[in-house]
Amino acid sequence: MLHIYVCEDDAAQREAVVQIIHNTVLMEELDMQLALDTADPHELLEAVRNSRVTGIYFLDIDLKCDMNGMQLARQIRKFDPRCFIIFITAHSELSYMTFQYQVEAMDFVLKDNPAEAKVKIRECLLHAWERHTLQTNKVCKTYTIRIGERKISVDYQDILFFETSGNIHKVVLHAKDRQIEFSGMMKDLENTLDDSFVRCHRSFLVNRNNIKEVDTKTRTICFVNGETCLMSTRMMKGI
Amino acid sequence: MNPHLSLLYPFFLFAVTICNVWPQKMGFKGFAALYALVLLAAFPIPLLTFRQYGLFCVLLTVCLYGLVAYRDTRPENICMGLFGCVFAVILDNVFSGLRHLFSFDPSQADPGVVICAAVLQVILHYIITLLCGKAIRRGLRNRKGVLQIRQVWYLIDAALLLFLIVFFFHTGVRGAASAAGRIYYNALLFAGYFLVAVFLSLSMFRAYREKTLTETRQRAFQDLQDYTRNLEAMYDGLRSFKHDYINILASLSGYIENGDMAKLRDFFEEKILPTKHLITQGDCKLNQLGNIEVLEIKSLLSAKMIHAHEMGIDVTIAVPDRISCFAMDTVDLARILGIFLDNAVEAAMEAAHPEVGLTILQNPDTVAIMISNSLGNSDPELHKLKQQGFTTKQGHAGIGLANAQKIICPYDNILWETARQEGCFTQCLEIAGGKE
Repeated sequence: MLHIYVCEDDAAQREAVVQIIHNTVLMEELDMQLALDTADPHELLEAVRNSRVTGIYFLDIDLKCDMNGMQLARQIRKFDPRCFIIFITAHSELSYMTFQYQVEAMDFVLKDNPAEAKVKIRECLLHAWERHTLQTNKVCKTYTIRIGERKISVDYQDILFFETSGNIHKVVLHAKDRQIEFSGMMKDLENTLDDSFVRCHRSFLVNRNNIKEVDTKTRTICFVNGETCLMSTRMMKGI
Repeated sequence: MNPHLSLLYPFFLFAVTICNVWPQKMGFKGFAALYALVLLAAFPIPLLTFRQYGLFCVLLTVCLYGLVAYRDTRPENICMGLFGCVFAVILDNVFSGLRHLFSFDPSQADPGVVICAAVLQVILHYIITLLCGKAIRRGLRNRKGVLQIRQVWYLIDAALLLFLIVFFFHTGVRGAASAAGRIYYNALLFAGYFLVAVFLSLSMFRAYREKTLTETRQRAFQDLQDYTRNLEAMYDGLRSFKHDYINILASLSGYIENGDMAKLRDFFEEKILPTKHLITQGDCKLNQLGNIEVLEIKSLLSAKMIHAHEMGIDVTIAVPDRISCFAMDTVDLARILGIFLDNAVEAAMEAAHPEVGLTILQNPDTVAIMISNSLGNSDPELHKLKQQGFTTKQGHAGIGLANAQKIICPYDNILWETARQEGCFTQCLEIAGGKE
């Protein structure tokens, strides 16, 4: 069950969005319901505070209020950390990356083209549903990197291995479609991660679950995406 | 013969040599002054028991003369003056060697022959030094690289002076003839040379750095000019649009007054709706770059983004907050961003709908820089990208990202994320400690 919230200051546009949502939920038979549509962000926050259900939020950026969509989204995240936030916007002044970065927005809908908006809203709802079911079905462990106040979370199942970098204070995380070089120490990593991670070489810490094959002759490990790393004879036993 | 008078002839040759290898053209007056000064300095030589001090005096005089006269080429003067001294001595030795070869002894020969020989020597000496001087001057005129920097010249001077001092005074070191003395002397010599070499390389290094720095500044300035020109063009466009706008309003009100709905509709659809296109297209939101206060970065980004825009790429720039500084070396950051943006532009060109996005955000304790681009059909394998020599483009060396990695590596405060998702490739730098 997901709750849908809409916050948009223009009544006509809000009505249009709500209509699209209604139709989509009905047609796709999604287990969702529209909890609230409003022009007042404070009202929305109040509702979120009292709710225990994960929500999907369609927020306008420019709310003609003491709070803009971005600030509202930040507040919502505090009460409902696993929520899905989608921005409705006319001005592409703030690019999608800003939304995604600052409040981990799922997507954004441009409202200047009604036909496109309709398709987009439908996509967003379906996508949110898919992610929601995925999240609830498996308990997924994540590794979190912190830099300043920013946190980057990577699911354990996406991590292939950690590699030392040229700088002894830094480590490179190799994930399926992502590489992150951050400051950290191998030793600390070994202690924080669970036992699916094995130190197979002085400079590699691998995720056993993502290994495709191990070649003991050349002493290399091949991962599911074709990436390879080395292992040492001494530390080979763990795998 | 009077010992003082016997100085006239060798020091005349000496002065001629210096005059000929001098970095600037030396007139008769200058030559006369030099000759007089050298003679004055050499005057005490016959009086002293230790000749070296006298010769040292001559050297110093030449140096001082170089410093005081012809001021605009001071360091070169000293260098060439010292070189002239050495050159004169060498030539003199060569000539006495020749005399010895033909077993010609001036003290026993006929005075006429002696004078003839002396005149011949002067002429030969003059011609040789003149040719050498010309060659050297030509070399100096189109000097390149480190020779443009004064400090390097001074260091060369110091090295030469040291060399000459050691040359003159090695017999003056106490007990130089004994084995211990020789070791002592050698140690002195090597220490001196070592110091000079160290200073020389240090100053070369510094000079090189300064030069690259000025070059980057110059480039940044150039980029900034492009940026300003672009802004001006945008402003001009806006002004002409304003002008049109007033005209449009006037004609609209004309139709409304007449109550001519049909014509009004036609006019609206034909003339006004297309202007929507005008507003949204063509401007690549460069104004947001104004929030970056680091000039070099701003100019680099604007140049790259303008270039991308000109290539027909849909450019998005978002810099909502004021960014006063980046907690890393500006030149390093500029190099990294240059690499990222060049890659992004080239990769985006292969996409069906080329897009490049640049986002810079100021967080409470970090600055985040994100560069993303749309991808074509080519699907780069992420882990291969950073390898030296890997490239998706033909005819490229594939050193860009490998270089970026080298630059980023020593910074402990930087997080570098490379990600690919749904036809979009993103480079993200998160620099901690931005606000100081």
